[in-house]
Amino acid sequence: MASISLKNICKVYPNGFEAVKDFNLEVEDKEFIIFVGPSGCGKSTTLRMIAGLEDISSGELTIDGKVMNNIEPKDRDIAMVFQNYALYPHMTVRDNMAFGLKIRKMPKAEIDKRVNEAAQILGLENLLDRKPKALSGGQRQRVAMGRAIVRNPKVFLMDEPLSNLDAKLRVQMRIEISKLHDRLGATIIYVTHDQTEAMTLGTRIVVMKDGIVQQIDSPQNLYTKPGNLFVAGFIGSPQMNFFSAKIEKEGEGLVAVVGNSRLNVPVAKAKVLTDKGYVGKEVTLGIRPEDIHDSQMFIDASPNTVIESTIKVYELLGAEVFLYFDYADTQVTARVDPRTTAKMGDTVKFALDMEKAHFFDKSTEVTITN
Amino acid sequence: MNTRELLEKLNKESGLNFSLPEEEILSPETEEKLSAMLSFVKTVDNRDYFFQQFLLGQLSPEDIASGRLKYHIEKSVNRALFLIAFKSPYDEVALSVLSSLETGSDILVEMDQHHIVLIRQSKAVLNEEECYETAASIVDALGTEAMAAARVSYDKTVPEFEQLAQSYKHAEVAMHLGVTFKNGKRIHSYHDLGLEKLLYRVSTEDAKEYMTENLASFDFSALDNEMRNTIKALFNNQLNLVETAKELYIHRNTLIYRIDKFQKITGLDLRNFDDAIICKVAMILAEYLK
Repeated sequence: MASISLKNICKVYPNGFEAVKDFNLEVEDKEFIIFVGPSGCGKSTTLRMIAGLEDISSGELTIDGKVMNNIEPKDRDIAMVFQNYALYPHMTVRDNMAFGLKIRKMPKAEIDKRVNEAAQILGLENLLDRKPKALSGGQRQRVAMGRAIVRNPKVFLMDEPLSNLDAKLRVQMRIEISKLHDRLGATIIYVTHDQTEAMTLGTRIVVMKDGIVQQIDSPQNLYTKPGNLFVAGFIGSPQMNFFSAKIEKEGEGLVAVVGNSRLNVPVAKAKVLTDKGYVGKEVTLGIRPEDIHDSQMFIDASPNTVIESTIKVYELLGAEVFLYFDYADTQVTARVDPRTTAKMGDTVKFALDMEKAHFFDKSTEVTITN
Repeated sequence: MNTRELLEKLNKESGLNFSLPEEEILSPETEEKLSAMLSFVKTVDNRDYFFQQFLLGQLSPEDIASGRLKYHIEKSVNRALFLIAFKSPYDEVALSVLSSLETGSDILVEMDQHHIVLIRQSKAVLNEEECYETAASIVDALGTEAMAAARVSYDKTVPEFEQLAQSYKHAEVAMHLGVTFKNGKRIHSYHDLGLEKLLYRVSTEDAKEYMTENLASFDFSALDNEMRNTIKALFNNQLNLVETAKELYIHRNTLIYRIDKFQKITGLDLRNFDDAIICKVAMILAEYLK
């Protein structure tokens, strides 16, 4: 397998549009890297530049130390799995998997060996003589993976490979891809717009927006220490709640004034806000839905971080309840215990766990306290 | 090609030796007859050439009818045409992939080193979604199996063979406009080009006049990606601020801030339908003028 290095990679189209700007990343051998971001953020373009299907406008791409910018895609020793995989309808599973090797004139014995090995890895041994129409969606997807595996490449590039599957199958295949990564010990770069896929599969995640890398980090760090407002809002479902807040001094400490509430800022965060000169200034305060509590115990323990509002929507999801309400011109979501007594139309008190709150600069949108 | 060159080419293609008296060589009628003969000779035993010339609109209705009979091509079958444009000259592997994708009755026509036409024949009419899926699977199969970068454009399904030449023209237009206006996309439908298709026919002078009248000296290429994507998202969401903010993963206030900023530099308030229309047209014209 292989390491990949992208240095100052840019993609500029002939009309001047910069699809990818100054992309830098070092991918270690056997890493599972995810490119995630909204549609049009440049994630697929970056993957296609690695594959050689798009020209690199500037910057340097190396695989195992060898510069790849001008190397033909077929000579880069990579295999790709895309969203719209089409199996050859008149060929068996075996022939579908062997096709790419046959047209490159690989000896038959070697093709058979590779197909059998891949079939075993993917649990397709009993389906090798079937035609695609006799396969389920998940089995077809595994055949598409098999076509990539038989190439025995240095790097696997996957572009939204699960997007055409239904939700249940997507979860199943996600687990299979994760297992496959462990079994093959492969270097994988995987593009998705689905943050759940990103969080569950990746060893590291590259979050992109408007062609620019926003943050490269572990799933855990992206969730708990987002580098800017975009990452904070993009990672996590339901989304993080954001309020406009003014930082003011109160006694020895600081408070964040949100609407008519004065929320106590924990000491460590208050120190950072003070040191960076945010006292008296407007900031954006972010808090995740699970860090807004309606239990009396929490409210009693944290009386200086309480807000009050009327529940607009109550959603019971079984293991949790989502409560939606408006506060200080913001639509707020709270994720609470299903034993809550709150119902639609009730006026309820909530305590914010300010230890978990995030503060962002109003103009740069960069995190202040993480 | 003049008459003498046509005669020379006809002799070469047919392997025969035609000759003409000097006075007939100068007649425009002779040129017409020689062109027809050359076309006949070229297509007489060459199905691919027949298709190529037919799609390019080089054959007369009579030639098309006789070619159709000669090559046992059904007149009335649903057919969807896909024009595949390769970034680099395609190779045998790409051809093998396309041949293997076929459903049994597909026709592949090699137009030149960079272009192949795939005609899919089917009992049912392929709707827009099915055409898109077919185009997407062609692009992805070429990428994964042949490691070839390609774009695909298409027209809608046509019921009569003769209509395929028009489909080809539409696919060519879609490819051209797609490359011009939708650089990042690899699939272009003739019926999904909307305003671009209309505005492409506006003269350069008229386009420039429109830009000057509505935007004075503002240069759209100076917009950063963030602002471009914000405007695009706003249009995609029918100017709905809440939906746009959601799509962009930003707070509604951030969106309003960006719209206000755009208004300051251009005078256009994107919340206002008339201003939004001016902006949409101007953005397309700016690309076109480039």
